[in-house]
Amino acid sequence: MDRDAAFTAFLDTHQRPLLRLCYLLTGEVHLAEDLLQSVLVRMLGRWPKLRHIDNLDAYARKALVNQYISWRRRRGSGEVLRSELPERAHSSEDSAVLRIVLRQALMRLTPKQRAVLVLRFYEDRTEREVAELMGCSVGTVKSQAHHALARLRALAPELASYLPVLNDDPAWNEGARR
Amino acid sequence: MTWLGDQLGRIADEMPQHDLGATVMARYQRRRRNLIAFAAAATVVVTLLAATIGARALLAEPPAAVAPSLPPERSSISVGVVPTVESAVLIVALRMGYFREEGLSVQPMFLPGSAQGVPLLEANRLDLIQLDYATFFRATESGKHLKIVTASHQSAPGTLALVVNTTSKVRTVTGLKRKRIAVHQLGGLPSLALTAVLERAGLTSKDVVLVESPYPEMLGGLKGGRFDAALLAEPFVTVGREGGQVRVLGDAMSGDLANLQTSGMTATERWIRRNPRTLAAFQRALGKAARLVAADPELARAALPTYTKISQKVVANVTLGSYPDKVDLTHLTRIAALARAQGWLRRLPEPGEAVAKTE
Repeated sequence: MDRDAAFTAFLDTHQRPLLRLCYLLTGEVHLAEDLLQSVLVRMLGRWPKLRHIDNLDAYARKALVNQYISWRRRRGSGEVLRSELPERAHSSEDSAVLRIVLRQALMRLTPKQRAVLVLRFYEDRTEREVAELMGCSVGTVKSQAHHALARLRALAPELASYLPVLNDDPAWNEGARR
Repeated sequence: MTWLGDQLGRIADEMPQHDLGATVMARYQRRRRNLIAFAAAATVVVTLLAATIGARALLAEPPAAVAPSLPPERSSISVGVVPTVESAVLIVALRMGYFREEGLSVQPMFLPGSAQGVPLLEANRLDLIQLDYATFFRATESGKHLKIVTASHQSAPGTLALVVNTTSKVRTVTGLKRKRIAVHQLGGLPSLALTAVLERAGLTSKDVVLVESPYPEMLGGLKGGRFDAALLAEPFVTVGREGGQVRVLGDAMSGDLANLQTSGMTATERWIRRNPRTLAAFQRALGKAARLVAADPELARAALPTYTKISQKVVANVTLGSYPDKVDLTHLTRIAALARAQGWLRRLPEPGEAVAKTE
């Protein structure tokens, strides 16, 4: 039974942030719960083998992101339909309105672009950490983030002034390397 | 923290926090039980096979005993609906987790008009759509192989209304002669209702200009003067009225159309043939939600703000129809007859043929 106890303890500390991450990735309550559940069920199945991993939280995150990307690849086709045309009639100053616009625009990114943005800006991780979680190179993270932000700007011009500018100029890159 | 990070955090705040621990444990246990049971069944099968050729008859037995009900063929389906009160039960079923209980993940897709769902249904981009009965009959007459699988909504006085701007000089339906009227979709049940309203006022649909517009854009279109009147469905009627923007000229679902079932979930015959268990699971979950809403209509009301732009305050005044769990053939017959009378159908369809036969 200590397996169940250990698992419950893991859930108590980590399920809240993990569920929030799932929600940001999927954009839908039920999908978010489904995503987290399916990963947790698999983790529970492998629990004895996972005992030796010291950072279970990172393991769960990695599994989530990968599961989400491959899920979306399989279910992909429906995605475009969901996009309601953002109504632009109201004043876009309101932050609640901006958030809705952001939400709708996020749903129209590819799963990878979305994952990169969420990990990079919501979880505030470095490009290296994001690359590690997504199992790709730092260069891919950079280009995905760049494309994602560009697409957000194109989809929702009213957000443009709020979005972060990635320092792609050589001087900054130099600094980052040093 | 950046603006983007901050906003993402606020979006994440919308996620309700449930404890998934118990569900995960249960799912894991069930999976393990199934696995063990499957292994046991497989052992039995192999043993029997080895023992005697005559065991053939027994082969069907062990797996059947292990899994009395097979899971649905599809674990995830997409359902196209128009975001009005008509689609409330689907959302209630989702919110109550009824589809999940059936092993089904349902993705609602909000369509600007239900007729736009028909080609998506035929191309297998959607599994089911909520289609109004008039559009349904026109589609089947034009050779589409569709069947209604459940009823979605039954109208009540006020669920579909003809409105004008409060500032409009038009006081009666007769005053709409030569005016532009927005309808959700030409050739659908709402336009059939509009034709009836116009005829009662001594006009025909030729006396007005009909403009197609999705419901969410109608209030804006009225305000901007793109049309003079609009045939609005709830909850948009209440949103416009409470906002002081529109005045109701008349109820559209009245006279011959009063209290008729308006729409139902529809699938292609091929999809129904190929996915009997998915369909049964979907029908069970939706039926359960319909019965729940019949007992407590407030649940449908509470679901509205989750998929339409309506505030908690305004939602209290929305007129709801009812949510039957069975297709009423007499209603189908009446709608077919009305559509035929308008010359929308060449012959009178057989309503019994319209409904999918399931055990």
